[in-house]
Formats: sequence, structure tokens, C-alpha cells
Amino acid sequence: MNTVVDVARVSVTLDGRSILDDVSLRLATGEAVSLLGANGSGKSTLVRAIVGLVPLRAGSVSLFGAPLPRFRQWQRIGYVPQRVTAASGVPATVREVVAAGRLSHHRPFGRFGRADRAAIDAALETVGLAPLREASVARLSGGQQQRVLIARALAGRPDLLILDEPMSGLDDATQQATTEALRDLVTGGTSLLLVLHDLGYLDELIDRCVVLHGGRAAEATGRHESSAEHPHETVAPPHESVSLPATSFGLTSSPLDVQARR
Amino acid sequence: MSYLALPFIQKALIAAVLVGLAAPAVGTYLVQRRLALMGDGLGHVALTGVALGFLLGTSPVLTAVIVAALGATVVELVRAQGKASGDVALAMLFYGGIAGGVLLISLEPGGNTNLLIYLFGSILTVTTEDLYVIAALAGGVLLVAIGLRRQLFSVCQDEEFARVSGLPVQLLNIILAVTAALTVTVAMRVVGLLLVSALLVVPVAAAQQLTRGFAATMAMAMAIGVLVTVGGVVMSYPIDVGPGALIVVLAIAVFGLTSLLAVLRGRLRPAPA
Ligand SMILES: Nc1ncnc2c1ncn2[C@@H]1O[C@H](COP(=O)(O)OP(=O)(O)O)[C@@H](O)[C@H]1O
Ligand SMILES: [Mg+2]
Repeated sequence: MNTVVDVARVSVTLDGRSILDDVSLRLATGEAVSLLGANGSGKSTLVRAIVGLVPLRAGSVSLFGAPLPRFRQWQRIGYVPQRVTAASGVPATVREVVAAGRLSHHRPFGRFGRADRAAIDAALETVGLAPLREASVARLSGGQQQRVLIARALAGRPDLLILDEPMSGLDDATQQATTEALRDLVTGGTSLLLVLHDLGYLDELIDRCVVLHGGRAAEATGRHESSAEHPHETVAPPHESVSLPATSFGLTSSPLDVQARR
Repeated sequence: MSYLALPFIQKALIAAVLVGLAAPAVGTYLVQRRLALMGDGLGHVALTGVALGFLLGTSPVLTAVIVAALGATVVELVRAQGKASGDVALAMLFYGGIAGGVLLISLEPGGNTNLLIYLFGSILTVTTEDLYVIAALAGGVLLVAIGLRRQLFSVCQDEEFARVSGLPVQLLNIILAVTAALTVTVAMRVVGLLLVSALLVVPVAAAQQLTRGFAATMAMAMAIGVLVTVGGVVMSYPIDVGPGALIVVLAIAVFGLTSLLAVLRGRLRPAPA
């Protein structure tokens, strides 16, 4: 099985603080892996390190078999940042923001063609924003803006989709619709890396959970183990817990709560 | 209206159209970036360039282009390193530019009255050679602002997403900064360095009162830009005032008008989704 993401013993320090410590993670082609953990446990930082937005202090990241510094096939990656707004200083329509997701397929000064328009329209349909395509993103609700960012990533038709808390701020119906869309993608062979607060509707879609705990990862082998009665035992083996750095953030005493599942 | 046939008015009108198109095009990206004052900072740096040109006895426009482009690049690199925030970097541009300009001017024996042309603009004295320079610079600016619009939009809208798209973000940022510097030096001939930023920013602010999209905002800002620069030149001659200040006053009037329209539109029907 081909490895899509290979995170090997990665450590990250930001502002002199150790955020990630010796984290390893693998994602095989077609796999759907969720990254769980409390607020501040380093989930977003790990995802940002994977896409090259955060420098590594130690370890390495490979994407589609290529070490990150030499990786060039960005059109294969769709990234949905954790975000509150899709707006900026000048108005932009939903369609204009989503169209930015096609740029990984283009050289500078390149023209958009039929394939681009089709991908943009399909992405808008998927997240249910087609009727609002000409609306200004600044006027949308938080949940709608989140869907704009998801559509932007989908528009690139990526082989690997990385979503950082994509469900936050989405109402129930939209969560279900998004789950359906992601299921179709997985069926079509797309690999998924999802940062989640709780698995929710995505439960059945997820092959495996990785739990971050104060900047360290413990990989649950199968998705059902992560829903065990005593998550602390299954997701964070004793030797892991003992070796937690004293500076682990936000999570000093209580074990992870991965029970918030439906 | 027979004065419109006068050669110097016609040259001024051509310059007005070029600058009216170029300045708001670049200004749209600066506003999107929330770097609306960047134009001012670059204007101050360009002052150093102008003074250097006088001192060296070369074309002040040429030295202004070079110094402003260098300043823009340095500020962009400083910002990218995260060593200083955008507004601190801008503050350095402002004060360094003014101080450098004043220092260099004071080095020149007898002072310099020509400096006023660059401080307040003097579109009615544009020569044919000036026009070639303005046309070349404005053409380059428009090529970048329009040809790279998708890339620049992405970088200004969400820099991190742009990086994950594989865009050369640092290079695009520098291209934008240098383009802004070129625009400032072109526009200084028209409205002067003190008001240059107004021509970059005010048409954009006016346009976005009425628009929902980025392309629409840029197009409307360029239309407003041409309207006010041409309008300023046409009106300044008969009422005998400086066109530079008149252009900016007109732009602010258009902003007042579009703001009013936006308010009225909001009153007449509920905000569109
Ligand atoms: N740019 C940064 N500089 C310094 N510290 C940061 C930065 N980004 C995140 N952190 C810190 O890293 C820790 C992990 O953050 P994050 O990865 O966002 O966690 P999560 O996504 O799991 O909530 C937090 O304590 C946060 O304050
Ligand atoms: Mg996060």
C-alpha cells in the first residue's frame, strides 16, 4: 500500500515552546484517518507541519513519497485550514474564493478553462452553496464560510484532503451533507486526514484515529478501540503518558475525552 | 471646451487615464491585504529617491522608481521574516523615507524648488518623454495587476492557502510590492507624493460600497480612477486650481456618493444574502 503522508518523528517548536514532540503518523492511499485531541494539543500545528506551513525542529514529513522540501505536486493536496472567516479587506464572491482552489493546476498568467469551471461548480454543489455563488463571502454566516473553504479545497480535485475541524460551526443537516460528500470522495479513492473534535457523523467513515496528547501522538490501531470505555488506556499507552513533557499544554491531568461520539 | 485641444492638456489627459487605471488596480490588492497605507509609505520612500535624483543630476523619476522598489522589497522581506509586523515595517518606510529625502535635499546647495512638483504633482507639465515613461510603467503595472490577478488574489486573500497551492508566495509578494512602488512613482507626477496613496485607495473604498466581488471591485475602482483623474484635469484648467488636489477631492466625493447609495440601497431592501 502506498503511503500518502509519512510523518516521521516530527518535533515542532514555536516561540521557544515545544508544541509537537516526536510525533509519527502514516496515512495510506484511500485511508481516512482522524486526528483527535483536546484544544491546544497540537492538532492544527501537526497538520500545518504536514503541509509545510510550520518548520520542523526534528524529524521529516513526506507527501506521496517525496520529502516535503522537494514536494511539488500541490495539486494533489486539498487543505481546509481551521478558520473563523473567509473574508478579507475587499469583497469577494463565493465563486472567486472557491476558484483559488484551482490555482495549483495553473501556471502564472494561465487561463481558466472548462475543466476549471466544472470543478468549481461541482465543489459548490457539493457543499450546497451553488445558489450563493455570487454572494459576498463577508455576508455569509460562519458555517457558510466554513463550507466555502471546504469547497475551495474540493475544487482542486485533490488525492489527499486535509481538513482542520471542518465540521465546527456547521448545522446538523450540513454536517450530514458534508459527510456524504466525504464518503463519495473516499469511495473514489481520496485519502482523508481530518482534525476533529468529536467523530460525530464521520464515525463510520474513519478507518483509524490518532490522538494527540500534549504534543505527543498515540495511534489507536482500529477505530473501534478509540471508542473504548477507557480511552486513556487504549489511545495513550502507559509509557507514553509517563513520558509526557511537563510542559504539555491544556491537558495536564485529565485524560482525553474521545467518548463524545454518537 | 476648446482648451482640451491644447497639447499640454492632451498629454495630461493621457497621463490621467494611465494613472487612473493603474493606481486603483494595485490599490485593490493593498486594501485586500489591509495594507492601505503601504502606498503612503512607498510615497515617502520615493521622496528619498527624488531627492537623490536631484543630487546626482539624473532623472528623479528613475531614482524614485529604484529607491521605492528597493524599499518595497526590503519591507516585504522584513514582513515575511516575521521580525516586524506589517505596520512597524510601514512606520520605518514613512520616517526613513521622509528623513532621507529631507537630508538629501538639504545637502543640495541653494535648496530645490522643483521638489514641489513631486510633492504636489504637476500633471499639466507632463512632457512627451514623461509620457513615454508613464506609459511604460503603467503598462507594466497593469500587466501584473490583471495578468496575475488570480495568483495575487489568492496570496492576498489567504497567504497560507496560497502556499499550500504551491504558489511562489514570497515572489508574488515582492512582485506586488515592487508594482506598488512603480505605481506610486507614476502617480506622483499626477497627484504628488503627499496624495499618491489616495489615488490607490480611495477609488477602491468607493467601489466596494457597491460591489460584492473582487473582480467587480477592481473594475469599478479603475473606472472611478479614470473618472476622477480625467475629471480633475478637465475641471482644473477653467477653474484654475491644481489638478492633483482636485483629483483627490473628486475621488473622496465619489466615495461619499457611493457610500450614500449603499446606505439607500440597504434601506430600500433588506441586505442581500
Ligand atoms: N504560531 C504559534 N506560535 C506560538 N505558539 C503557537 C502557535 N500556534 C500554536 N501555538 C500553540 O501551540 C499549541 C497547540 O496549538 P494547536 O496546534 O492550534 O492546537 P489544536 O489545534 O490541537 O487546538 C497551543 O498551545 C498554541 O498556543
Ligand atoms: Mg486546531
